[in-house]
Amino acid sequence: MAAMKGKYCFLMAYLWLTTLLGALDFQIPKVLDISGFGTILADQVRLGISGEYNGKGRFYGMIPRSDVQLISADKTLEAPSSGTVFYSQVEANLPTVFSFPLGGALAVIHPDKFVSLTSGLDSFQVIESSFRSSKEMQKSSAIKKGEKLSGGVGSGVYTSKSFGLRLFDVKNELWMNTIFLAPWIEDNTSPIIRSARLIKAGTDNKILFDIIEANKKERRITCPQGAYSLFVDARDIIISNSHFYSAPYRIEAILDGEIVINASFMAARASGGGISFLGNPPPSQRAIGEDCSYQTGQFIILRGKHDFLLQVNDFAGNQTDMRISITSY
Amino acid sequence: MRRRYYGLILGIAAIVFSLFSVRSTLPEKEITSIDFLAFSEALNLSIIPMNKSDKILPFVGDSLLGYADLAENKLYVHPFKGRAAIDKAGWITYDRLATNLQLYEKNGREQPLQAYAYPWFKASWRVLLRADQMGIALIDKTGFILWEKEFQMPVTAIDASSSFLAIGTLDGSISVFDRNGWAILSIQASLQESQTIYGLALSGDSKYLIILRGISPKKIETYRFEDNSFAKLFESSLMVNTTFQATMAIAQDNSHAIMSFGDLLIYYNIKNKYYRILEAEMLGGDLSENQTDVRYFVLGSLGDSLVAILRSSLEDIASSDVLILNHGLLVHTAHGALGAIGEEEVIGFVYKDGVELLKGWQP
Repeated sequence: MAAMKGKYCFLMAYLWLTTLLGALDFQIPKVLDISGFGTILADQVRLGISGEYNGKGRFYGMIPRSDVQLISADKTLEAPSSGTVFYSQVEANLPTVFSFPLGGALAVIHPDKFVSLTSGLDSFQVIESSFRSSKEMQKSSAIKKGEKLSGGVGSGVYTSKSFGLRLFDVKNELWMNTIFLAPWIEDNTSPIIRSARLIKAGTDNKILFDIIEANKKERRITCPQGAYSLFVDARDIIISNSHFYSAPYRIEAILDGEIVINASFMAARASGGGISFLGNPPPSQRAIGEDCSYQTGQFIILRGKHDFLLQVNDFAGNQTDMRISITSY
Repeated sequence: MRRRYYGLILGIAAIVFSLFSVRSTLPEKEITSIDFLAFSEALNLSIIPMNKSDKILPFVGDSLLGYADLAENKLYVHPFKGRAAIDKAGWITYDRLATNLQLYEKNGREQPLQAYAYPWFKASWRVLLRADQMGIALIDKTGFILWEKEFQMPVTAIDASSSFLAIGTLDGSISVFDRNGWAILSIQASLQESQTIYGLALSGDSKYLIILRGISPKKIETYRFEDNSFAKLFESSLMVNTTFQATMAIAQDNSHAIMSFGDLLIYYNIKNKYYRILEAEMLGGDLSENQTDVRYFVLGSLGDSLVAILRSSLEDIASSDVLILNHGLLVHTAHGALGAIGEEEVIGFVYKDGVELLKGWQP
């Protein structure tokens, strides 16, 4: 396994994103810790509580997240952009009334048809913002960039000082990965590949080849020719020494020098069927395998000897490689 | 002279008729008994007969949940921490972080439920609302997922009747599912249209669906179930400037709906398509002195034209009332109550220390 820098991918992604974002002045505020877009939703919450959760079993709610989770130094979060509040949600203060999981939340419409949703907010903050928005509806920005939004002791599924932030590109119907809009991040560590498996298509997922194990031993696998799905479990630590982790940005499979899989968490397409991650069809759980690894795509291995390279990049351009030889019969 | 005499008689008849009409819309409380069942004298839920499903009312208090046995005037209770959803077959407790879901059968037998979601129960529907608010799963009483759906936007409204489950989302999309997960109604919208769903309500008999949508002005849309789908009957503008998510309920007689947005409470007459804001003064009570400090939550319809509202203080968690409205008029205030339950001619109020049952309500 080798780690190397690949800033080119990052720059391309950044340019593509900035083109999409156009005139939107949106920046993720500087926070203590962050868990990125695409990370398994339920994992991170358990991790945030115990600090050592490493569960593998799949259950309802284990899907790639379409927001970023931000852990603030205090009980406030700076508004990432200016805009007008059009939807506000508060948490009921009695258990006899159902409260929604995002807790106190504000949906804000920004210029150029971008909509953000900040969750985990304090109810008082939500009420104050809503009240202001009602009074000045359509006149001026109800929320100003940099304004302090308070989270108090946490609301909804968010712990204290923890917030959720998601951004939707209305024109292109995409949930955007906002981690590129956090220029303060200094990530110098490469992602870790925890598992990588090839599963033969059309075989009830029973015939599998473990690339990690092969890489440790003979660096080669022998398999029948045919179509294979590549499942990868990779994690990236964005902030040094953090126990929060993020999904990688890009997973590429290169067979004999040709890119056969190119899956990224740049954005997730929204449609009537749900959310589409890594190019998989919706709903989002289709992007997750039985062991909670990412389903990155499918490619065909023909009879013969092949060189296979797996490349996993993080958002800052750090890269981890794994190379094996495949003999197909 | 004779004409004047007839006119006088007609006038008196009109006055008598109008008086009679008004009286008939007001509740004639014929409460036959008021029983207060204290938690301190309640029985443990483990001994509730498993076959008992008639004449029991599930309830959730602030630290106890259970069933009120209407026939025998008994309470069966179980302590819980955090939050809970309950129906006649059992309950689920969960914490705010959705990390510790426990599924219970009616007699208290427990098993963990692996899910990252909040449970929501109504009309025998058991739904898990995923923690990112963008998906739902229908589960059976063992926690087994029967079907699940994902939406492209966060869910902002949910309601159920005996036959259907309705979901509204931030972008204005509406989905109504039957018990098998088939979409009876599916309206896809885009955020470009500014049609955000702020609330919705299904009538108990599944005939009506009322949707509250749009940013400014808001619209109240009324749908009626016809030919295996919901068809829009009409829409009315709602001139209120609020961005709050709403809670709503349609009265059991389908005459009207009550909706609340934070400190704003609205009566909507379905037949005559008009609304009026219910002023705080009309709702009486101590909590409404400073209206910005209270929040209204519509708890649900309790029978005929009665709707229960929870009025809670924003600052003081301990301070709450349950208001019973009849056609939008306040007919009863349960000071200090946390919740309301109802079945046929029984209305119950859940307090911190017990459940009060009022039997014989006949509007």
